[in-house]
Amino acid sequence: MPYRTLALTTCLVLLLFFSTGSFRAAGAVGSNWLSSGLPLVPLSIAAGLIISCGQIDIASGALLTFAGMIVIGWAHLFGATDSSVLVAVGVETLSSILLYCIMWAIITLGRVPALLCTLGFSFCGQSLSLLINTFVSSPLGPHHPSFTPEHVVGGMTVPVSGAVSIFEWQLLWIALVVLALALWRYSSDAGLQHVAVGMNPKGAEMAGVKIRRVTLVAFLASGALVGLSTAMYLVFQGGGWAPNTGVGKEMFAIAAAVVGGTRIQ
Amino acid sequence: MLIELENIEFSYAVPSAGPPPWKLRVERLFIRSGDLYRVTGKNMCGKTTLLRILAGLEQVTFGGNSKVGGSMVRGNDAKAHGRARLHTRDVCFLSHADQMFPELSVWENVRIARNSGPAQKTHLARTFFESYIDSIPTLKGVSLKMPMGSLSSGGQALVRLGRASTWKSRLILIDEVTAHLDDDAADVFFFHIGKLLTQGCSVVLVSHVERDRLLAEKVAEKIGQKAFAVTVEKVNEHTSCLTAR
Repeated sequence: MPYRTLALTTCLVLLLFFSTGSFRAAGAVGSNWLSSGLPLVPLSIAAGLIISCGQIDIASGALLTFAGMIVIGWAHLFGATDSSVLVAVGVETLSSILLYCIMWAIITLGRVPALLCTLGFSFCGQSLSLLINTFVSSPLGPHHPSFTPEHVVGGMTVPVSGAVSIFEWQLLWIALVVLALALWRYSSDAGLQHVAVGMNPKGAEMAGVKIRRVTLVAFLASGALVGLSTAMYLVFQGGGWAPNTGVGKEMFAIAAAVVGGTRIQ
Repeated sequence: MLIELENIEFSYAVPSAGPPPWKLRVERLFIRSGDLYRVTGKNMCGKTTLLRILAGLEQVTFGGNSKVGGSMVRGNDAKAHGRARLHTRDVCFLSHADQMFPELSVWENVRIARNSGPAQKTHLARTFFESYIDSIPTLKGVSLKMPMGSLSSGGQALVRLGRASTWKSRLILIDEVTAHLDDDAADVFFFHIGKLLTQGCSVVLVSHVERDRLLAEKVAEKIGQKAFAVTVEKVNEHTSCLTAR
C-alpha cells in the first residue's frame, strides 16, 4: 500500500475514533480539539474553491465571525428556541452567500484585485461583528425572554438541542460536502471547467468557457460552505462567540487548501 | 453568409490619453459557409487581432457594420454577439498561444469545449473523437486518458482540430497552429480541414508557412472551391488595412 494511502487511512480512522466520542465530555481534549478543528474542513474547501479558479479569499474568517454574530443577534431578537436558531442558521448562510456574491461582483465586474476586495470585506466583517456584539451586549439591546443567561457561555452563544444539534454530526456534513464536490468535479462539465479556469484562463476562454459564471459558482459555493462552517463552529463554541472568533482562521483554511494540493496560479 | 464585416476599425486601448498608436481597418470581409480563407501578412500587422475580432474576443472600436449569422450588430454588441457564438461553440479558435490544459487528459481537453447537452451526445462525441484519433497515424497509440502535456506540440495541434470537428463548429479560426506539424501530419491536418469544409464549416487560416498555402489550395481545389486570400498590410506605422481577394 502506498505511504500516502496509508497515512490518509490512518488519519481517517483517528478522525472517526475521536469524533465519535462525547464532544463535551470533561477531559476529552482530543475530541474537543478535533471538534473545533473539523469546521475548518468546509472553510478550507471554500478557500480551495476560490483559489483553484484563480482568486484569493482572506475574508472567510471575518465573515464566519459575522455570520455567527447574525445568529447570536437573531437569538437575542427572536428568542433562543430551537426553531428560531435553526432559522437564524439559514439566515446567516444566506447572508454569507450574498456577501460572497457581492465580493464576486466587485472582483469580476469592478475589476478590483481579489486580495484588496477580500481584505476590505474582512475589515467590514470584523467591524460589523463588533457592532452587533456591542449592541446585543448593552443593557439597551434586545433581550428576548427565552434568551436566558444559561445560554450564554463565556461570551455569547446559542442553545444546542433538538434540531440544531444536527450540526454536531460533523463527519456527516463533511462527508456530504466531499461527496458532492467529488461528483461535481469528476462527473460534471462545470467541475471540469472550474479546474480549467484555474489552470489557464485564456485557454478556457478560447474553449468557450464562461469564466464569469464559473467564478460566480465558486464564490456562491464558498459562501454556502462558510455558512455551514459557522453553524458547525457555533454548536461547539463552548467559550462563547466573540467578535474575533474567526479572525485568523482564513489563514489555516488557505494553508490547508494549499498543502492539500490546490493549484495556485 | 456567416459573417460580414464592413467599414469597421479596431484599436487596442492604451492607458495614456491621445490617439491610439495603431489600428486595424477592415473595409470589407465576407465569410461564407464552406469557404476557406488564408490570411497572410507580416508580423505585427494584425492577423491574430482579426481572428480575435471574428471570434468575438475583441470589441470593434469604431462604427461600421458587422453581421454575424445574418443579424446586424454594432459596436459593443459585436463583442457580446461574438462571445456568445464562442460559448455556443459555433466558433472554434485554435491558437498557437493556447496551451490548452496540459494536466488534464486528452479527452477532458476536448470535453471542456462541449456545450451543455444530454449525456448521450457526449458519448457519441467521444466515439467520434476516438475514430478521429485512430484515423491519424501520428496519434496512433494515444490514449484519451493521457495527460495533454505528454503530447508534442504537433500532437496537440491535431487534438485541437479534433476538438473543433467533434463539436461541429461552423467557423474554425486557426492561428499559426500548423507550424508545429511535420509534412505528413500537415497532410492529415489539411485532409481533415477539407472534410470540415465539405460539411459546410468555414475555415480561416493564418500561417506563414508556404507549405500550408500549397496544401490549402490543394484541399480547396480537391473539393471544387477556391482558397480565398486575405492580406493584412500595414498602410503606415499607425494603420493596418485588410484586403480580401
